Amino acid sequence: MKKNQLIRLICFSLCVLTVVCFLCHVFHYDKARMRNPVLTYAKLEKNTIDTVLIGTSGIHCSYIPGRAYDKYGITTYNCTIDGMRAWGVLPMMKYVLRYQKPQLMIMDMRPFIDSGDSTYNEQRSRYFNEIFPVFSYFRFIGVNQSLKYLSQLDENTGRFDMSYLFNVVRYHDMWQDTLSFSVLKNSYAYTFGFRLNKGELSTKTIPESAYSDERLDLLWYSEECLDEVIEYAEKKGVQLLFINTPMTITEERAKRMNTIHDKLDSFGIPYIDFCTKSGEEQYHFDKSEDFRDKSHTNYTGAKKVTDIVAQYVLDNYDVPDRSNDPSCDYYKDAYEQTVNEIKRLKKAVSSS
Amino acid sequence: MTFTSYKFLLFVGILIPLYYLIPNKYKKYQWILLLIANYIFYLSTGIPQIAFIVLSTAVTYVSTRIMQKFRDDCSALIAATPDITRDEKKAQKAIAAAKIKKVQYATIALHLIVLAVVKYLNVTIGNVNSIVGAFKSDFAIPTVSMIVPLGISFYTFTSLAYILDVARGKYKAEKNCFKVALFISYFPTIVQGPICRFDEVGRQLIAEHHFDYDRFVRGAELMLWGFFKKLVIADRASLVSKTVFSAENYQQYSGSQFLFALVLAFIYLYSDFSGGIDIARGVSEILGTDLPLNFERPLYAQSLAEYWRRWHMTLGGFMRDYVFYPVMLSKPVLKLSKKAANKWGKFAGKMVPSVITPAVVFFLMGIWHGASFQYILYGVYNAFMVSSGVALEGFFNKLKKWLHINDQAYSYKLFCMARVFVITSISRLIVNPPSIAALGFIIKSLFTNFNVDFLFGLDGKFFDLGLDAKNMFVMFIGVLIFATVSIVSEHGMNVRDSLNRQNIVFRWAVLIALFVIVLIFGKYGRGYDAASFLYQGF
Repeated sequence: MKKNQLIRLICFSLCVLTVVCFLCHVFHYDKARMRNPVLTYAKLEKNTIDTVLIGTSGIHCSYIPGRAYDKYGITTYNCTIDGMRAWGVLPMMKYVLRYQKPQLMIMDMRPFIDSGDSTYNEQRSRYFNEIFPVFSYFRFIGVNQSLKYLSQLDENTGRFDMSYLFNVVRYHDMWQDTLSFSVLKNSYAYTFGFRLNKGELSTKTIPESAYSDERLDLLWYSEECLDEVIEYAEKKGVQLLFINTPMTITEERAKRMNTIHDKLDSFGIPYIDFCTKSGEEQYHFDKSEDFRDKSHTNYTGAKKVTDIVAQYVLDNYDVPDRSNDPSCDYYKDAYEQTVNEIKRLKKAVSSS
Repeated sequence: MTFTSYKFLLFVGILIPLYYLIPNKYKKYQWILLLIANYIFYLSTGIPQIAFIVLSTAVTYVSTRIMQKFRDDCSALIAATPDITRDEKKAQKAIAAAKIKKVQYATIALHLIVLAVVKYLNVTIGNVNSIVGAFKSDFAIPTVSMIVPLGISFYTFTSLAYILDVARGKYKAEKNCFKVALFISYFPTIVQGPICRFDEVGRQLIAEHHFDYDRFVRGAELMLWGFFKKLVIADRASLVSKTVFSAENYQQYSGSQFLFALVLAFIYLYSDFSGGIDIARGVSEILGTDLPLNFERPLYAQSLAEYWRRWHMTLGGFMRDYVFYPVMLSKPVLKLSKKAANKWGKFAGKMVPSVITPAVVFFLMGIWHGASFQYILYGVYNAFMVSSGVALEGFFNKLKKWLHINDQAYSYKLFCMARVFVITSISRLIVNPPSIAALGFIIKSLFTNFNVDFLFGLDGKFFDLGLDAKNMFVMFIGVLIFATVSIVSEHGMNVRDSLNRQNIVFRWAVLIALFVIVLIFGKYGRGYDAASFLYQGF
């Protein structure tokens, strides 16, 4: 082959790859909307984040990093994805530690209590993997970790199914539903991963039986992943704090949460559970005002959670006060933007 | 490993660089890599299946070598006897020919027996059971559990073509058994053809090949076009035809729905089969071997005979060379023709081979597609149409003259094309329904329960046949692109050549657009029961 032909072939392949990458970027579920905050994390000034929260929508709807900075002077960031699965936590921890050196990671308990629905798990793993660009290392390890478990849960999922790396290939058959140009939107990046939930929902209908004291074994993969997370944190010298953000608890979830509590107790890892009977009483959550839906708080609820968690962090960990640190001025802007957005939404809600 | 699987792309993606990275010094052994690749491809379908192709290759090789030996011995004997008379020479040749014939018949019989047993035994048992079972409820011959090896019809026909060519002395039998194995098992052709000849394809496979950029580009373009036809058009059209002609559902549809499904069944068949062939030809072109054409825009055929010259051309060519002419020129047929001419006149004499030969050819073609009554009926129907075409040719010519029809006018050509489409659609109507009973129901519906409203979308059921509006639209656009390419090709334009002559930006934009269309709108991957190639089943 002549040199110019080889160059032409390489250029053509690169063009095709670029198009595929672009399509992978636009061709995803709208649910992967937390991609921008997660990707923005990598662009922040080095060593300015002391605490990172990792988990599901439970966290990004309940914790306001801007408020925590404004009121308590601590720098926190939500690296959260809708419906993060147990096997998504470790890749996210690796991602977090690649760009900052937080001394504390606040982990969501929800990824570890799922009931094993393989279709749901496959879909949620997809949300996670799609946030990272094609060919990125974290997408690769995310996919690898997902497939390690998904292939055992669903015989149709191959262990080496590389199409997971390219969502346009993997999910092309959903072109009618998934062609979303959200790449053009800058969703929630300025709020450092806090996502505002509009509206209110009364959740007073939780039966007493839901607050169970019994234990139910975690699913094998949840247990395996939880062990991996604890081991990895130990290895990297990162402190862990687990939280279970407010939601409508069910009996099965409560039993699995109890099992997690036991496990965390055995490792001496602290946790805050907003969903136990005592937790609800202690933290004074109003079930008629603080929720947006059954699983997420609204802004009122989020303020309460933020205050409780931030105060707990201040009381129990040696995190620096960065309120006068000029390198963290961008936090003030973030909070201002969050507040403005809330005002705008409240106005929109009241006028409607 | 189907052509539309990731595995196949990976397989080809590894094979091509390996194939061309062989140093010039060792290029003469390049074919060995191809042979290994063929067997890896075949092994991916299952280990037991490989026994059949190995057996077929062994029988083919041994028999052709024996036939060649008879011919060579005869030539040597004649050459070694300088004073041999013409009659003695003739006698020696006749002895050799008789021996060759015996081997030829025995080998063909062996191939056909294996094919018949593997492919037709259980179907025949099923048919017998259903017929006898209608009269005697407890009657059931047990079926035999066996595997139908991938592409058995195609490699059997490829082997038969080679055997017959060697028997006829068209070319010499290949001495190296592995080269014969390479030809018979060539992976792009094993799934659904085209049926190749050793002198056309076999020799190319053995030759040394150096990387040729233009061939690579052309081959890749052809593959992409094949994927477009298969994944974007065929697998969408198949949903409608499979829904409407399914054994469970057919009774709920009206005549117009059957008509619509019949048109889509043709789109499915044509784009599936020709798409698969394009992929095969594209891969082969990249590997340096040109495979024969299998389709030449059959919709442009103005007569049935022309249709069969444009549709599944390699099977047509096989039938022409190894069945049609041998039957037509066989002693019994010639004798019968002569007798008919003497008794009823010249026309009758002409008609005897015109009736017998298509009947044999189309019966065999029908059987080749499947051992069911519908396929036999399909063969009979086609034989009848071709024979009656020949019989009525004179009458039509007179009619044209009498009505002053200008057969060069475009409108007349269009009429002829439409006529061929209708005739061939009827033949597809015979084989598409799931059973003879269903065929009866469908024919009845066409006349008694037509429902015109459906065709105009007035009954709101247009998108209830397995394809929603968006997918129907995608398929329609796909068909439009396919039709446009066919039209310009029919008018003498080589689309690939003219595309490759364009500026790089335009050329790349077209190719990337086609790639993106296949990537997004193609039916493949997890969650899809992507239809395997239709002719893979034959």
